[in-house]
Amino acid sequence: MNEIRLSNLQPPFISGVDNSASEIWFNKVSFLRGKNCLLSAASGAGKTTLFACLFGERKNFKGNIFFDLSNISTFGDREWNVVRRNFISHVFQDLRLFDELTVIENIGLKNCLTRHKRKEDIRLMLEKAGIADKAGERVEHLSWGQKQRVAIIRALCQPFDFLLLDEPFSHLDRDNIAIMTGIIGEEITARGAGLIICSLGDEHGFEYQQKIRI
Amino acid sequence: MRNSFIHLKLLRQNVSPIQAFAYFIASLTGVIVLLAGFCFSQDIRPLFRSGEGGISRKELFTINKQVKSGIWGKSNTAFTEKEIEEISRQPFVRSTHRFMQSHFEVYAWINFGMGQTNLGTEMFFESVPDECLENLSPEWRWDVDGKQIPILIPRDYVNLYNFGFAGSQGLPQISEGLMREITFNVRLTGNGLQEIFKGRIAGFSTDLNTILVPETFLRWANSRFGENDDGKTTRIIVEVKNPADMGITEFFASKPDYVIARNKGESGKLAFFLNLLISAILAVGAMILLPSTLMMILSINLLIYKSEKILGNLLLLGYRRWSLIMPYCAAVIFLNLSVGGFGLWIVSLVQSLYEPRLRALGIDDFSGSFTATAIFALLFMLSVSLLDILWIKRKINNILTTS
Repeated sequence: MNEIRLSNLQPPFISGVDNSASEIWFNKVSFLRGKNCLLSAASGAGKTTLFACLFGERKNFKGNIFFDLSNISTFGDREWNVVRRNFISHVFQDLRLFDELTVIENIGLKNCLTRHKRKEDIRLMLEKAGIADKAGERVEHLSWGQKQRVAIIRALCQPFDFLLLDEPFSHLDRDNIAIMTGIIGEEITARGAGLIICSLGDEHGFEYQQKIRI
Repeated sequence: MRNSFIHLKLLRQNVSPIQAFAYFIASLTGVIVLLAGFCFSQDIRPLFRSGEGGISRKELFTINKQVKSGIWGKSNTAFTEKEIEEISRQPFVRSTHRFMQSHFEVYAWINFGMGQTNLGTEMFFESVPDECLENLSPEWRWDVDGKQIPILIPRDYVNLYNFGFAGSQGLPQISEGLMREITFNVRLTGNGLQEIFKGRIAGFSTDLNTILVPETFLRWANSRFGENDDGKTTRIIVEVKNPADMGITEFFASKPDYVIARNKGESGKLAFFLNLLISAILAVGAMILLPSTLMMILSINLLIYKSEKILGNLLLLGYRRWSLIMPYCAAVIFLNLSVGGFGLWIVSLVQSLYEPRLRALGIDDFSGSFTATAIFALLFMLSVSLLDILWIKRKINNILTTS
């Protein structure tokens, strides 16, 4: 998948926020594979909603979203399944980790679908992220910052052409953000993937070819 | 744990072992009652399939109307065509046949030889179609040119003579075999003609309380000697599909002026009550199973409601919908088949308890009924599982259908 194109997309809710200055809503926008894009906005502008639409979680929007030439409104279960396994990976703002499972089980839950990473690769990423010692611990016992790192590693354990990150570093200090952007940067470069990151304003050290205000 | 099974750990965590156990016990109770009732009904079927001994082993009984106002009254005991048609239409009836009566004088006697007194009596003949009779001897045959008439008499007559008349009068008892050897003279008179034939006992009937001759003979004899044939039918012979059919009792309960003589004596009534008993057992089984199935459906609702977030997140991670539905379905099938298997085992124990009693009644094959019960159990539990599976699919689809 090389392009995600939004055409006159309208948010599926009336937020009360003034959308007239938005470069996403009611506009034409393209995200390209191999390019990094920063989406910045204040809270409540619809960043998470946009990702929910791009990931097939919300379908009650108006306007069109195209993955290459395919309009996603025609997608059924099977198509979304292929997209979520192979083309788009997503770090959710609320992480969507399973508290009752260990760190390694949470990551394995994703990795077993495509067997994209070997055990050693996962172990190496955990070490880089500084949470290798938490591998066997239940996620409910981790801090939010540690959970964010687990969620990012989980998202990297699958093939993708686009990586969606929804405020992924909100609970990380500068050093850890640098480590995580390093891991993410290596992965997207190796795959030639596109990055779409939502942020309240911080740029997090990535190099962006596209900056869009929501 | 292998990575591919991690999602099962998640799906399993909201399963309540107590609810599953309660369902197991409740449905097991219902299934045992249902299967035991079914198995017993299969086991006792041979009791109603045919009579014992006798010539006619079919499910026959005769119907006539009650004589209401005495012999000389105006009581009309003939069946109208409409009434016969109504009886034939009943779902429990396989076929109806009419009794044919002789419309000429019949006199039978035995000649004991020169100088001896003849022993004779006035009598009558009736006939029914041969298909109402079974195990007919080769002697049950009449040729137009022949002078010998084969006759079936009720076995009761023989018993009446041997154990009643002969004993009281100091006469010798006669075996059935000897009776078959005796020939006697039969004189038919009517229509200005008179002819003498040889009569011979061709068999004994336990079912039809009349003196029978072949229908072909009686038709011929009526056409030759018959007088005053009004063509009316006063007795009907009915072959039923299943003598234990409750429809029989219900139908005749609505016809109080019909008198029924069942060929199996009281077996029809017995069959009726046994059927009623088995129906009651099956109903009790169903009454237990209905709430247990509802309990399962409510448990499924609760389980899926509690797992809503897990299911939604797994779908977003890229898990296929069927891979989320299948573990629940497999668990339900396993649970139901365990109930069925365990229930069957207990029913086999129950069967071994009543088996000796049924053997005393002449039933000796129990394997067929157990196989039928096993097939019934399998089909039943699969049907219940199918219901559960459809419900699981529906509930999961409902919660996974996003806005």
